[in-house]
Amino acid sequence: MSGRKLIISIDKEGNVTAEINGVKGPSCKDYTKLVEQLVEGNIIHETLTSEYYEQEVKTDDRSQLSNNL
Amino acid sequence: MSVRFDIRPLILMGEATWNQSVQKQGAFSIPTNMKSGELIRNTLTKLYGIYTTDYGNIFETVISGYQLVFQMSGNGFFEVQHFYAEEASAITRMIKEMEMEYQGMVQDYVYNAIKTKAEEKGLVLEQEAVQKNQSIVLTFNLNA
Repeated sequence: MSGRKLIISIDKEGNVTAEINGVKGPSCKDYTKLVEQLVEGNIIHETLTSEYYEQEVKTDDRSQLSNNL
Repeated sequence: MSVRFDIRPLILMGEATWNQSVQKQGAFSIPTNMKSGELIRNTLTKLYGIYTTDYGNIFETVISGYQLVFQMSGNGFFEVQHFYAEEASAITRMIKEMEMEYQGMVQDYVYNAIKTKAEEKGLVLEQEAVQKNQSIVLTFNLNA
C-alpha cells in the first residue's frame, strides 16, 4: 500500500489526465469518484494498466510467511 | 500506474442552456473557440478593463469603439457578432487576442479548482511542476 499517488496533469487547453499509481488490483477504481470530484468534470476515457491486474500484497499474508520461517 | 482517467472539466463543455428567445442578431458573425461565458467576461476585464451588459446568455460590450455581441452558437462555442463590414479584420484580430488569453484562463481556472477541492478533502500536495509543453502536473500523496 506504500507510494500511492494521484498525479493530475492539466494541459494548456484545460484538459485533465489523472493517474492513480501504486495501487494494485481493482481497488484503484475506488478513486474514480475522488477524481471526478476534484476535477468537476466527466471522465471521457479510462485506461487500465497491468498494475490493475496485479494482486495487492496484504500485511496479514506477510506476517504468515514470516512465522513459517 | 494502475488506472488513468481522461477528464473533460465542465468549464470546457459549454453552456448547454441557450435561450433562443433572447437571441440578438448582429449583421456579421465571427466564430470563436471559447465556451464559457464566465471566462470570456473575465478575459475581457483582464485584457481591456471592461465589463459587459448581459441579456440572459448573451452579453454585449464596446471595445475600442466596436460594439460586440457574444452569443452561444448551436455548436456550443460562443460567436461574436458585430454590425459593420469594415470592422471585420480589426475585430478578428481582437478575437484572436481574446482566445489566447482565454486559453490561459481555462488552465488557471481548472488548476485553482482542483487545488481548492484537494485542500478541502485534506489531500497532501507532494509536488507541482510545469512541463515544457506548458502542462501543469500536480502529484498528491494518497497515503497521508
